[in-house]
Amino acid sequence: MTVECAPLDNVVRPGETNGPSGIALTDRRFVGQVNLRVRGSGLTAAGHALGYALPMAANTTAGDATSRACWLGPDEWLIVCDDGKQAELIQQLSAALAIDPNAVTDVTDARAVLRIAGACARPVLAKGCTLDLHPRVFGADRVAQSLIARAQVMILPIEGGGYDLFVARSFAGYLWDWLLDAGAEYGIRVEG
Amino acid sequence: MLLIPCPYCGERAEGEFRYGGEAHFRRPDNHLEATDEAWADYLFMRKNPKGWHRERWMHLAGCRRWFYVVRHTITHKIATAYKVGDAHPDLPA
Ligand SMILES: [Zn+2]
Repeated sequence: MTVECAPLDNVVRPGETNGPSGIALTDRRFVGQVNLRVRGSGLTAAGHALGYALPMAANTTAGDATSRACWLGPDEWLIVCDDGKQAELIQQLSAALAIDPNAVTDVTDARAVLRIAGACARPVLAKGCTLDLHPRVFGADRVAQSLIARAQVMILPIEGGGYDLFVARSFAGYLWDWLLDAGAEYGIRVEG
Repeated sequence: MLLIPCPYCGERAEGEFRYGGEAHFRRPDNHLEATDEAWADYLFMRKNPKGWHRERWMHLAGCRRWFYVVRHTITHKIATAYKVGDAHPDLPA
């Protein structure tokens, strides 16, 4: 008997596509990250230092061209900026919060940031995440902490449809492999 | 899978949470003079009801806050969730 088709002939492997590539995956090395814990009168002071008010609604963000504050909890934010800008940010926040109870911590090295973009980014994440990430409910000013394939992530939507996934660096390799596997059917382009 | 209403984040899948057991029992105030019986009661004795139960949950993969849930231990129905410090809502009939 002749074998006409090997079992894996139809499987798309990382780096290959089975049509127009629907996903671009990037390792965004690196993104400046500052954890901010503050409450009460410190909220206003922190807003002055940042140049915009901290987002108080759960799972929302606020920001300007320099940085973006992501709500992590009722008194906790992750402030995201270009790598190299975090030292200045920390200095400004620490100076402004001198008399208010606070914690300002450089956590830039704590998380890797994987960017998944392209028309099929959302269906890929839907395979491993229970959240509805449609722009109808997860718009440009949103952020969410959740699980993707059981790994803890912070999900930040990006302009033009796509997401930055902030993941503990020890999980980054695992999540990267999972995304390659989950996205293979849509075609993946690894960038950067 | 339970859909648990985090008082901060809204409804999320159970997998994002950790269970913390029965809520609202109090450590003996005067711990040096508390009796063995009081300690045993605090450490080991739980209501374990068949029915509505106030319990602690923590949104581990989300906002990482502890809060309270009123859950029915037979039906798993969740009546309400509330923050630490909030008034305790009445149990459903
Ligand atoms: Zn939460």
